[in-house]
Amino acid sequence: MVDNTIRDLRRKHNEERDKEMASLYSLMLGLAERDCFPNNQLRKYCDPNNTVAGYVFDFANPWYVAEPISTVQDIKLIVDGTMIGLEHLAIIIRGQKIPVKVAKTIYEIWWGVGEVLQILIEDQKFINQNILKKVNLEIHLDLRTTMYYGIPNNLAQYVLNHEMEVL
Amino acid sequence: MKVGISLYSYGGDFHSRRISVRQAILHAAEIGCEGIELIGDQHLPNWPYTSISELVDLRDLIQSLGMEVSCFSSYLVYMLRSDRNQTQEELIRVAKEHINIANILGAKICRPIYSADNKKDLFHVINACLPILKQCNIIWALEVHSPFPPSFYNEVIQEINSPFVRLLPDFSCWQSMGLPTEFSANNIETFKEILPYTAYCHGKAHVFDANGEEPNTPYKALLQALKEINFDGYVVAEYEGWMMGYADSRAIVKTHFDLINKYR
Repeated sequence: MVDNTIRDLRRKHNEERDKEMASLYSLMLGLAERDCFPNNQLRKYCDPNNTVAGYVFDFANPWYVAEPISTVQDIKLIVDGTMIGLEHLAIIIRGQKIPVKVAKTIYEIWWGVGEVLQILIEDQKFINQNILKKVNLEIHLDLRTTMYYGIPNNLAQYVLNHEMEVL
Repeated sequence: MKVGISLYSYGGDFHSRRISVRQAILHAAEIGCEGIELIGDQHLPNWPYTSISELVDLRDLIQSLGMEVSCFSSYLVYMLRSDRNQTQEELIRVAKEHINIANILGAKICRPIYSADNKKDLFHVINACLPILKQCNIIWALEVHSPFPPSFYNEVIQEINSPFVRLLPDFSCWQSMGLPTEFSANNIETFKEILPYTAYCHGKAHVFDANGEEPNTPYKALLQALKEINFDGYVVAEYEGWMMGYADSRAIVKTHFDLINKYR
């Protein structure tokens, strides 16, 4: 028994572990549903020339501990039925703007527990369209875990849907 | 036996930004807590770049309230980067950094959570840290937690064979009944078997009944076993029910703290 590796034990307990983690994961999804949108506002984002360069909304860390930004593998938004891909999205954390497409390489910057960052939409087609005062925003966030939690592909997949007031 | 509180218990309120770490510490002091467990990844400002002055301020606040840092916990994340896992040497460097943080905080127990793939890697990391543990007089507490049975840790601890590496049983190992995150309970005898190597305990809880009992966890029997060996370490309240739904963590922590005190 002493010679058994942890991997062997993990395999032995895998089924039970994954069952637990699946439940834990579903609880974490509930936490995200509850806490990730500190307000339901989609706000204009202006560049230094005061020109509207996009829209931003506040979004809090859904995970239960701090995680490096490199855990953000993918974000997609659907705003009133219009899909906005990751190439048009950026994260703004503590004033630093990080295109979502490179977020997975940024392991030096961490997203604290409950910390609110902004997600910026820079899609010109979206900016130029006639945006209503209220929109439905659906976010698809793939967050890689930094340790083993028994979640398939170590990827926590969040789909959150909120009515947003456009300011 | 000393009774403490892991700030993890306030996790629901941290996640929803209802209270700050400072407010949680003040609350713990108000209800008579002796020791505070801090988790770097959840409670330290600017983690993982917390400055020495921030650590000292936190330690001083806790000590000014008549408490101490009972344990410093942290995660040795091995999937930090998307392109590769951390190497053993990188993990060792981080583990040493976390032991130094524990030292600045004045903690005599640290719990670097390391999800190793094999026992060799676990031994390699811990053995590399033994000199600094000894130098700082800090114990690396290996958490006895699912998915491994308590007997597994008994074997690990005997193999490492150092007074600076001890066990930290989590009461969830003896928790029963269909809670969402639970396994079937281990026999209480398995708790007694690891007590000679136990330095610290996590009083895990998920629900409380109207009488302030945790109906799924045999607190009375577990604490009785600790009393029988004159355990002089900490049992800290570690409430995790906040993942199952929101409740004011301060009220829950008080209930939990009272439960441990009732049977200590």
